[in-house]
Amino acid sequence: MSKVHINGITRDATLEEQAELDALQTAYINDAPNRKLNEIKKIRLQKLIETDFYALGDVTMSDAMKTYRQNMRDIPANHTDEEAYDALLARDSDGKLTHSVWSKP
Amino acid sequence: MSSEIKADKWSPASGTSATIGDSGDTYTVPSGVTLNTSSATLTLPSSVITGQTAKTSLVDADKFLISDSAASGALKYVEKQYLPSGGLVPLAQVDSGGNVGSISLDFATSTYTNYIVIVDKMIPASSGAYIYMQFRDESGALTSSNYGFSARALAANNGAEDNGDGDGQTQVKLATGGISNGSNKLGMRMVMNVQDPYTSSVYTGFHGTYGFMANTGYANSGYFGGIYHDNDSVRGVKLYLNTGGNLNGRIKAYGVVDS
Repeated sequence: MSKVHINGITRDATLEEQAELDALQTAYINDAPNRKLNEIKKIRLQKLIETDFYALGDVTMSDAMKTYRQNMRDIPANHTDEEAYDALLARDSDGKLTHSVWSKP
Repeated sequence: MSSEIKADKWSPASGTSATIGDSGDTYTVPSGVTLNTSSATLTLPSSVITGQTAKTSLVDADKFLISDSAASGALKYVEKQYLPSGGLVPLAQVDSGGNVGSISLDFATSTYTNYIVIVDKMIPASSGAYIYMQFRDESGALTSSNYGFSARALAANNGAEDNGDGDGQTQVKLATGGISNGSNKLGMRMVMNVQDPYTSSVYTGFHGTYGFMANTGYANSGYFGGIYHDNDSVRGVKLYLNTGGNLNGRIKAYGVVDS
């Protein structure tokens, strides 16, 4: 049973209040894959921004870089479940992402 | 044995000072007697104040002794209700003192139109959760789909945006990037101006600034605002987490004096 604090008084949550908190908790747990995918998309966006300059007219983009950037775009299509998301978000002890898709050529 | 001295004037036997009685003596000026010192220099013991009973809160009718500069320094009193006060009047505050599922504070009355709400600490028990805010009326939290809001914060390390918005929502979402649960990092903080919450014939506006230590370890700060678009007499706020988990925090509310 959760507690609530209202106007300086802490008390047990009512059944209705507890049901609301439980519903939030359930929704949060069920939404884990979406949260992970959103986090992956944020990382992907940052990686693409870092290599956008290769697309400028006076710069030649290597085939490896083209493949790297295409793989970034294909992440949602090629990685579709929570287990795959966990693999994409895995980091080493230094905090660096370990999945090969992030490795810049 | 009693005796009575009748004289038109007392004067020192020599010099310019004299003493009445000895330590422990009591002289009484009876009812109906006038002791007129209006032209004299009157030195009172400090116990005139320190010897009285202390009062710990003031009411409007309490009186303060003043010298009226507009009336040749005549002694007058002024009541507490007429004393100038600060522009912000402390109304209410809560400190959950530990982890709870939600923290609520009611503060709005018909007295003020604008309120400042300060959250100086709101720490989730588990990192990564973010804050939901709802208003409250006399029956409790307002959960209908009447919240329109937008919020934008920028990360200190790279300026990455932490945005939240929505209309017809059942709550306001803040710090959606997720908040650190470090007890020394204060969680989410905010200062919010709430406009005309109590008047039931108008919507309730709100806007402010907020900051939080993200669970990424970087500070974020930004601004938010919106409106509760329903004619309701709002009394306060409720803060809780999107995860349904516990949080620990403080809320303070001030009324803004109009004039």
